[in-house]
Amino acid sequence: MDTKSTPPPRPHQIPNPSRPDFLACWAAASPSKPMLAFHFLRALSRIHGVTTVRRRTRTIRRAAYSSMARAASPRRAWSRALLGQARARRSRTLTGRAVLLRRRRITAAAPPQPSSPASRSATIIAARGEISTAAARPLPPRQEGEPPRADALRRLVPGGAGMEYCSLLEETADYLRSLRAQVQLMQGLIDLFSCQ
Amino acid sequence: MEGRAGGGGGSGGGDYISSLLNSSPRLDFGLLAGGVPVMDGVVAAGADAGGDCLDKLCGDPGFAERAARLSSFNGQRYAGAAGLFEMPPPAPAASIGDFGCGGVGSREASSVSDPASTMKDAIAKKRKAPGGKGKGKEPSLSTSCQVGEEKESDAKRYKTGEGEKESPVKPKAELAGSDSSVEDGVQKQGKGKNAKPVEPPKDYVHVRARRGQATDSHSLAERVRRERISQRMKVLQDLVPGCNKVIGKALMLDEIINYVQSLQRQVEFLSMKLATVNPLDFSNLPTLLYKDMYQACGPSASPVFSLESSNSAFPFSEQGDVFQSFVPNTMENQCTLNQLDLALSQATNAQYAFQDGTANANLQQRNFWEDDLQSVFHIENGQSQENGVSAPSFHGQLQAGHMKMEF
Repeated sequence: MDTKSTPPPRPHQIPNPSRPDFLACWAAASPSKPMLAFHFLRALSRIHGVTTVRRRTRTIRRAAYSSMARAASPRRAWSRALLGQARARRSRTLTGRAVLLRRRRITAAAPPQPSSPASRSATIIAARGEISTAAARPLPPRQEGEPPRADALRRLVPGGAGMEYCSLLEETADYLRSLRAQVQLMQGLIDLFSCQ
Repeated sequence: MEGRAGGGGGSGGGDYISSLLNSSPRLDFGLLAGGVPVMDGVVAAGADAGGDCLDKLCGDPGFAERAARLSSFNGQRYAGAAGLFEMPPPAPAASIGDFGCGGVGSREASSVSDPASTMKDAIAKKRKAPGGKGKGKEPSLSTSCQVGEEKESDAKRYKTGEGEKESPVKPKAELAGSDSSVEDGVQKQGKGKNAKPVEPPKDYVHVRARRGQATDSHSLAERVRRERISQRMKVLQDLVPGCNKVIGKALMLDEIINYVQSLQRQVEFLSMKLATVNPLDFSNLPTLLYKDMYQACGPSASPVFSLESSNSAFPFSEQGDVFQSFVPNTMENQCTLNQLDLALSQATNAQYAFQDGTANANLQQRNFWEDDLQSVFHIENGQSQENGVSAPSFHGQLQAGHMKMEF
């Protein structure tokens, strides 16, 4: 039997979720989309415990960006920047007493005391390292022919602060493609979940 | 006037340009529409085609031969064309070359004009100033001309690279270039894109200075950079919907910024909707995807799946480990995504273990999941194979240190 009942849609055409093979066709449209779906669905499956809608929203949004970054090629500066942000956020939340509490919550049986100082210092060192490397980077690049609106673009695109204008444009293009794929995926999932 | 080069010139131009073009019969080269990749085979065919067409064109085999040999000069000569029409009879052939929008046709045709190039250059020099104005008048023409210009500069590049033609060097060097960033780095762009087909690839970038341009390294680099920027802006223009109507870098940049902002807002909104609409009950997922997949590809319980299930472990203790355990198997198994069904089924089952604790439901759901999702992503086996190769770099990160989902 055929693996695909219909040919994959054109890149700009979002497959209709009410079509029976929506996910398959959408994911087959471009090489990065299956990875996107994989990471995002995996992240979604982990967000079962958060009860408040607001926190879940935030978590889902971060999961979306992380899965975008994972699905993208590591050559891309924006994907590295996004993953770095996520890692820094995690280590930020894990410093101090939060480490203790979290470890106590997760490994309920094991005594938290011996493990936490080592892990805490490790995470603190990791966080410091990341923050220092992040701080060392945003030296203003050459802005010869650059229009004044470019700094708004730099703020929007992750990792855009330390880039030249030329590479900023390239990163923007890739980021836009990835964003669009992510939006399509989320929209499709919503429709899939809602029309049961 | 003979030999109109392609149809491209008339498309975007002003009245006087189109009248100039329409005044000459059409030369049907049929190569205009293609982008730069068309150039790959064009140069090789250019000599022959040029000979044929220009025979028609001029009836002079000498012209054809010279045309085949010589490279064209700069194509954005439409302003110069007006002056060239005043020239003596050889000029009409030359005028064809002036319309860079004709692409290949103009490239070949303009090489006919080389014998008259010295005269043309004198006129072209005079025409430099109105050329600038003409550029301002027809910006859309310039964008459509750019394709032709690229092709012409490619031809220039190739023929220069072949090394045995000093006569094209002379007209090229004498060419009056308008001060437009669009054309300036065209050579660079063409060079960068088509280094391969005809000549051995150069490891340095070969930029030829135009007349009236400073030739020091700074301005050359500037032109290169500007050309690259405009190239990227074109790519962005294709990506952003509705950006075609906007011309000009500043406005386009605004459009791009707005689009990125709107997409980010959409992600935020959709994540909120996902959080509310779907209260994360994975009980419905198997049935939904079941319907989804069975219509798509049919039940295909492939041996791949059994292989994976034998390889991977099924820890139920912590949900975080569920996905992590499949990571080492990613390398040796074909498809990362075939892990997904396992992973999600385990996640689902773990969730059920937390919530319901019904083993029967687990088993049933798991079977559904296995078939559904694996058949979903079974399609993308070929594609995700490459993704699986690139995935290890990420999964290496996942494995190192604490595996917490990065939210």
